[in-house]
Amino acid sequence: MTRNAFRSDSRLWRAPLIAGIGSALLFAACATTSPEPTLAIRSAEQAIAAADQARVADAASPDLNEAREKLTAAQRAVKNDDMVEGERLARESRAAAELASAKIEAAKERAVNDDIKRSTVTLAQEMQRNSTSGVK
Amino acid sequence: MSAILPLHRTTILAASVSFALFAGCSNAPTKPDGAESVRNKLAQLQSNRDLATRAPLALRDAEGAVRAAEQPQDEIALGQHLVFLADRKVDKARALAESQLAVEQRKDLNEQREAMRLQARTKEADSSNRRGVGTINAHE
Repeated sequence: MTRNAFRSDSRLWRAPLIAGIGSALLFAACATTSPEPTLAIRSAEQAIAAADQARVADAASPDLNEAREKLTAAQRAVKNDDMVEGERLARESRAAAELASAKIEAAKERAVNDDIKRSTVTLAQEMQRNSTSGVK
Repeated sequence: MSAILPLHRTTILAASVSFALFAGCSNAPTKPDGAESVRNKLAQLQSNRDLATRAPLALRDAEGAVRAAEQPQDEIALGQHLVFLADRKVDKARALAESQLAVEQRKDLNEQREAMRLQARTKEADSSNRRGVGTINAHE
């Protein structure tokens, strides 16, 4: 009777023990630090380099500045072992740099069109001047 | 007095349960701040006739990012991160579409300029022809 009681007792506490060990293992797995976001940081660096190359000298690009700031913050977070924040900031940096590139490109394309429009207007003005100044 | 005590206990219990339920509801994940404004920005781009079809890949990418940003998150920082990404991707799609529009408009602009050049040359040729005829007539 005592033996049986002991057996059923041991069965009773075995289940919580297993559950406890399982939970501890799960917790340990969750607590493990995320890997360093090397790829995200490299992608951000490349996107910044591309935007910097596309940029017209001396032209301000707030998005590119933001990308640089985010990249610096990402590198700082990684140094402080905050890999999740580091990865997020690196991704934000890349998104800002890609936006900067797209805006720079759009500005360049608009500038080419503006040049064409200006030269067309100049031609029209010259024609007008010639016809009114007696060149017949 | 002893009749009042159980009543008190029931009230306290009910209040505690209500409070716990309320606390649970108030901590429920909600749509991140700014997600709605990014959705509106995307909708504006999608309804712009000049731009909506000019950067399909970037627009699809932006749509996916906005959808991700709209998901309720337990972690506020994650929600803000996704909203940031979505916002920049919508702006990027707009900029790329504007680039493409400018490239497509260039053909017409070049044609207008060429037409103007041709007109100027024709006028110049006409006037020099007229000058030539005038000189011949003067000699005769």
